[in-house]
Amino acid sequence: MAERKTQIADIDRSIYDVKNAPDAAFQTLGLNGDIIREISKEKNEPEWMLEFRLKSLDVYNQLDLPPWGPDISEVNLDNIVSYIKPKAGLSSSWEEVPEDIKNTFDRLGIPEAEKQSLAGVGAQYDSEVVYHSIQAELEKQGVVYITMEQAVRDYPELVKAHFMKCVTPREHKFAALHGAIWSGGSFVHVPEGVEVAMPLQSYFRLNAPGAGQFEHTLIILEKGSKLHFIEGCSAPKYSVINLHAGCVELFVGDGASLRYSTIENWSKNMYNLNTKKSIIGKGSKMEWVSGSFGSKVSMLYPQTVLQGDNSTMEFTGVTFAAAGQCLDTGAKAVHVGKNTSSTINTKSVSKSGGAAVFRSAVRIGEKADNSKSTVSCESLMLDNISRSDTIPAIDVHNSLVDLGHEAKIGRISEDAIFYLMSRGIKETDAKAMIVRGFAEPVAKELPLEYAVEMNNLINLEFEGAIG
Amino acid sequence: MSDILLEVSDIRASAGDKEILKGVSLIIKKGEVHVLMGPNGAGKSTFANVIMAHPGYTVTKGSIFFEGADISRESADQRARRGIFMSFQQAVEIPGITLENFIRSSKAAVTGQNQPILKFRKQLYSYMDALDMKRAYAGRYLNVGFSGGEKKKSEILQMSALEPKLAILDETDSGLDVDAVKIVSEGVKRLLDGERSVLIITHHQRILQALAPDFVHVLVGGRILMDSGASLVEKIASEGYKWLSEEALV
Amino acid sequence: MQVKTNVLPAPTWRYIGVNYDTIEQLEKFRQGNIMAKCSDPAVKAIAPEKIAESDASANCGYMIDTAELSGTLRIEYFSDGGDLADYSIITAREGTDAMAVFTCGGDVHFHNGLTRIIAEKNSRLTLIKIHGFARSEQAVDSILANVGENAELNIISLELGGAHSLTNYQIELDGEASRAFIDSACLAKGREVMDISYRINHRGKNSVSSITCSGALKGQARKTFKGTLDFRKGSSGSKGSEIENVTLLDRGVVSRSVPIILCTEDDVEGSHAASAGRIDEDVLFYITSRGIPMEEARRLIVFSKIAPVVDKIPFEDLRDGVNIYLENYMCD
Repeated sequence: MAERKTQIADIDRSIYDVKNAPDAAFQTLGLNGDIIREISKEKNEPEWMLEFRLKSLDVYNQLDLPPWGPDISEVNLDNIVSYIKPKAGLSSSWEEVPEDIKNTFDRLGIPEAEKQSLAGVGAQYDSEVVYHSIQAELEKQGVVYITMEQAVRDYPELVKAHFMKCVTPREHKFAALHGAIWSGGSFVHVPEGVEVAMPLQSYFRLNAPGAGQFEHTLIILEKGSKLHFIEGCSAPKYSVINLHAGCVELFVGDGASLRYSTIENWSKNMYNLNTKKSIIGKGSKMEWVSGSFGSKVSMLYPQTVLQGDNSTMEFTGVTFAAAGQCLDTGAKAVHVGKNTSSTINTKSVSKSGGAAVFRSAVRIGEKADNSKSTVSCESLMLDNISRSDTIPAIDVHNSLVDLGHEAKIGRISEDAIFYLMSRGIKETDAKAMIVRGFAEPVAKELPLEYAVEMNNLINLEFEGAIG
Repeated sequence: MSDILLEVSDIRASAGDKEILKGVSLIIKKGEVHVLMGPNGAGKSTFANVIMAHPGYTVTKGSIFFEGADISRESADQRARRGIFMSFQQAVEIPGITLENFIRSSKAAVTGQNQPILKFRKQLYSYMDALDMKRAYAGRYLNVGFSGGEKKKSEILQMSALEPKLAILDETDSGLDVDAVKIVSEGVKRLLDGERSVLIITHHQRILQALAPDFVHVLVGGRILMDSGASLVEKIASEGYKWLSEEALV
Repeated sequence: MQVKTNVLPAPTWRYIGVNYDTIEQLEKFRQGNIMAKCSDPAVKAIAPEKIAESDASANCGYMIDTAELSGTLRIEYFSDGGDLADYSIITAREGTDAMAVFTCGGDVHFHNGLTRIIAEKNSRLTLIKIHGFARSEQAVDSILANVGENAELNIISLELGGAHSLTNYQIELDGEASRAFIDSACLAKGREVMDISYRINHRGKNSVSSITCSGALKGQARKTFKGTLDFRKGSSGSKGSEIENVTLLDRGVVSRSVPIILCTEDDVEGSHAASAGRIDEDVLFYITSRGIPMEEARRLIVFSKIAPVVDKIPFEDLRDGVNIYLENYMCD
């Protein structure tokens, strides 16, 4: 039923006054200082965090919505207040979770308890044991991996020095909103020279109340340290609130190396307006691996500020937009230091009326001598009811650069499909196989279990197309 | 005046932090044909590029004299005007400049004399005919869309037109079929008039059979391990370079 | 009054400053002597009342019917300090093959040009525009074209700058197998600001387009290139490509590019490539190794960027004009 409702809303969207609706909604939704104070009190926060939240609220009220990108006028802002108000009684039950989400859980083979947790119905996902064993291992190395709330209390100096210093509330309206009402998330601190052997996964944190909605991830890598962090999980996360405005801030010290992987598969009623940004030091290395499958609308462009000389950034992304989705994704790079290098590689697929937009911005600053940047994006259109746009921006302020950009849009070659079919493979399987091959550059960067899940997601999309 | 054309003394050169030439000396007299051989990565191309003053290499020690003048600090164009020519292993493609205009500009720069269009064209065509190169290529953009063989011919065409005193051929024969090697080596032969000299960098015997070198130098690990007569070529062809390194170790 | 122009068809982050450019819209023309010269007596000047009707405030212009032309058409505008607003309509008649060259010289305070093109089926039109021979404070040149079935429109555009110069070409590939090719070269120097916006909308089946733009920037010149290929519903079988290449000669330059592809058809091929950077060291070495001095080699390389466009200009005096411009450009 919920599915049908969304579709009707989709059709009706055109009758709304796009320009005025969101502002009106924002003003009347009653997000005010009192509510913010209530949240802060509930969380038992120090005064400085409350002040930060209130300042962010001010900024939020000043900023307008971005006049570019997908239509986000349908974001259900009324729910924000009812959600963030403590004890507002926004409980949902497993029965309310839409059938298609439940089916996907089943097909991905996710255990019952975990399903309920992912669906946000508050069942306790029994991950504590696993989690604690990781904790013990990390503690030996001096690595801190705790909830963001705990970090605010236990590491006030570190948090004060970094929290929303990378993504400031002024970045855009939803960053400001995040600053005012953030809740949950992870805090990681890796000491100088420490190389964390296993990837850390935020997966284990999803059952915290409110996590995955306005969660804040703050990762600080000291000089010469190394970490692989995996965010989220490839199973669809269902929530009755249709806005996700998380924030990820990454501080990569001199000579440090960070890989940040995400397979994002929000349920298809969700507006995913997430902000991710990294500031990286001298000789450091930042790698992003990003797969976007879910959500109704996504606006996600992980940004890297190549602050230190000789730092490098690589972004590898795949976006898969199917029916009813508009996924506006990409990456941003700001070259500040000398001899910096950025590489952005993306693939996108649109099918069954989905819209995939690749958007990027590369800035080469006045002082970024001898910097290099390569952007390449490839888009596949699987039918003629879908949409695929490429909107890159290049902004060069230095002549000592080497900058290249290329993009291609097209469809799966009929010859390739024919070839596979002539070997006895069904057409849908052939297409799925080709699309998997297309997404391979991302899949191969993922840990095995995630790569498998990503392939399953692609297969599910193709099966869905028949049914 | 002495008959020494090129005198390279104890050259050390590096690319970035990596030292590639570790003290190389070589003397080429007028009218001589020299061959530089050696395994991959020995520094042969670096040596050619250092003589031509490629800005990507830093010469840390040693000197280069040409016809008795110290050219160690001269730029590529100054050296070219003295009569040094290098054929590139990978000829650069430049859309927007025709092959003819480029060679005409070069000829004017090297000789210091304006090249009247028609007279120059006539001469260029005769060189092209000799190289079995279609005249239409003169009007095409410099090396753009040329096949590997055509690029090599474009290099030899430029050499023919510029009439250098010393031509350095950096693997000009690589990737060419038998007929093309013949055409190229005949082009080089025409240049040799008893005064002009050639330094050939190659892996193959074919071009050497046609050009009958006077001296063979073997470069291994950034040093010349052996200078010898032409007979060395055959030994290398049959036994490779391994024996050389062993000998050098003794 | 300030108005927005060269608006990006798909806007993006505001801070990059590429979503639009603003120009001063004149309430009243500054008076001066304006001369318009047309090589073909068959071409009619647009009468002032027609100009008013056309809804484009203009003070000179021509009504061009390619069926009436004998040979390549050449139109030259000249101003000695007054504002110039030219408005021309070109109808490329069915089955004709025509070429027209537009230039403007002298000292134009504000220049606002608009060329309306209707390319009928099976026609071929080559339009050559040289911008920047005249001195100007603000120069805006627009082309709005509709290309019919199996018709071909070639635009050769040389952008030689001006204090603030804007180019705005929009081509509608309406007909089946219609084609549009924009070949342009740009040179900007000093404190010049250049905003180039090309947009090609593929509407007909099997339509073909390409945009190429190459050039050089020096001094503190600022250039923004916006190229959009838009594959609309119904444009199946179409192909489009855009290539931009800019050589950056000095540290102070700013080069912005937004090569956009919008696509709602699956059976199309769209591609773009953009590059920017200093003069390639290997190319410089290759040229200097042939005896050509460094400065001359640099000039040759810059010339090579615009040569493919200059070579297409059918008049020697204009090609010479470009060469003189280039000499001055390199010396500045």
